[in-house]
Amino acid sequence: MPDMPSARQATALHELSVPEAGALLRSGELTSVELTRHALDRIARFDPALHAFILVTEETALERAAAADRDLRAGTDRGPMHGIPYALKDIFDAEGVPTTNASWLRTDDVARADSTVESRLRAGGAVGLGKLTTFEFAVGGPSFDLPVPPARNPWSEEHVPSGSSSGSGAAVAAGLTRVTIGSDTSGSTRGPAFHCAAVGLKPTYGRVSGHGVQTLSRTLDHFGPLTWTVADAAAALHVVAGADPADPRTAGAPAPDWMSALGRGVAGLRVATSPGWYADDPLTMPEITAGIERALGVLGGHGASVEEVTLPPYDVFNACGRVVFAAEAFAVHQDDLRRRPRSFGRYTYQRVMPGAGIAAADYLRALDVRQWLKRRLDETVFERHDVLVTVCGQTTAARWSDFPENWPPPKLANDMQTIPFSVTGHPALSLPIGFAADGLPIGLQIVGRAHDEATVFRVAEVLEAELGERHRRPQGMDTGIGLGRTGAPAGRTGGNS
Amino acid sequence: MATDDARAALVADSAAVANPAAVAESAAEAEFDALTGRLGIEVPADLKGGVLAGYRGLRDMTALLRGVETGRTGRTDQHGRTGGEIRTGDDEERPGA
Repeated sequence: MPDMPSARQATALHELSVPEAGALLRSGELTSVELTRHALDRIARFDPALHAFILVTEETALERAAAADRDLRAGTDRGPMHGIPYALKDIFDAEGVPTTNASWLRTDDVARADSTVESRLRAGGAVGLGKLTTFEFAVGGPSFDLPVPPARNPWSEEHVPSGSSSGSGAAVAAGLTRVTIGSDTSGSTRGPAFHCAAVGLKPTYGRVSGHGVQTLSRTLDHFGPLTWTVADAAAALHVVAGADPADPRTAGAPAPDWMSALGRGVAGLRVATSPGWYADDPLTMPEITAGIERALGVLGGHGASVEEVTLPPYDVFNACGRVVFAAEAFAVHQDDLRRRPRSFGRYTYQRVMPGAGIAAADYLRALDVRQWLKRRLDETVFERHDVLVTVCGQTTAARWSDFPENWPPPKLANDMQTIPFSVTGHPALSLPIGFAADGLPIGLQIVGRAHDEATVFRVAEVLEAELGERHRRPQGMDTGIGLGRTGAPAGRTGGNS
Repeated sequence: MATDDARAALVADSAAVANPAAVAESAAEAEFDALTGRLGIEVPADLKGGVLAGYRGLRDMTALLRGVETGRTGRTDQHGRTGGEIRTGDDEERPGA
């Protein structure tokens, strides 16, 4: 009988999940330097067309990889991200490296210290590959008037990857790295994850420190992983989460071991669903509604119970989030808006400036409504259910041509239903569940109780196994060491390089 | 001249009646200009259309939020309201005040 190939032999290195790669690193079958070189090779090959990276820190990446290998050989294991490459959205500080925010206003800003996220990944033995493209200051839009070009969607050169963590979505989908860390104020991690067929987690508010990260909206900003699989996200969250004295928003709940939540299944879980928000909305693609129905069927088949709930009106969540966002983002940028308006990208200026008109009474009113919505969501859903499964995006990715000269684009190009859980602070995960007839990714959103990311991971893992199509990569990006994979989904004609 | 001005005003009023949306847009623009002027901010003319579109959207949203019944009125609820001698410090108008 012939020898069975090992996981290392049978799979391209970028197809190894973080736990799989970690096992090979610990067994000595793989080195972090090999893994890192593989990532750097893919970046060199694919990123010139994708523009996912603003900066690649090749030299320090290889140094950190070599150090990770030395540590493991010496018996020092720094945790689930030890030796694993990752990249940061370019709003996170990493000492000695520019944090540009993709803005003319920050092109010369070199960080003097690490953000807490970066320092935890560094301490965890992970290997930073560089900084990823973002919409300017994590707001803006897909713009061509910034110091760096916008990231492209690896699934189609005609479509945007969404944002603002656009480089994160593109890099993960193209297999340049398994793990990125993004920010999510109204959907900036979940949106690119949805439109690039990746996993995007907005953890509970305050779960991950924002120290050393550019603020967009102080009470809405969340920070979390955008990865290829659920297991990758759990591993990354394990390292970056937890209380941080430098960020008072993180005070409170301890960070459990999310890796142990994986593999527990969903039998006995109570799942709520809310088709009232999207099913009858003509904007929602039928494939997305059908995909969510299919997912609920999978959960039922695995022993979960599913019940429909009626949530407060979506428009109230949206209005609440938009008003808070506008007031807080204007407060952050008002000095530059006054002094250097031409240094902002056009979209950024037009998105942030309207917040100047929010009266204090209206801001406080929005905060009152926010507390009410949070209570209502807990009463409606989480007093009797473990998770809510709902829509994430209502359509597949917008085309570049959908974006006009002036903000805002038509609603069709801005169709995410992610902001409600930014408003309430509940953990929410964007999970890919296949592809629409146009060949572009679709997904759904799984929302959990505050501080219960573990149950969100359990549900996501079950759905990922049946619907996630994690074997599928964009056309031409399926090559690598070991066995190749089948690439483009049926019907795609516009794949990127 | 005065007759011409009066006629122009009449025409403008008629247009306003015919197009209330235009009046609302104009009011929003005047309001926003006043607010940004107070902050010492001048919006570049070529960017103003997008900014005002955003501001009008926010006005609609703040109006919607004012109509949400959250059960909070701003007044304290730990004092009797009938004695007439308890001062709560709340912001409600008092009978006879």
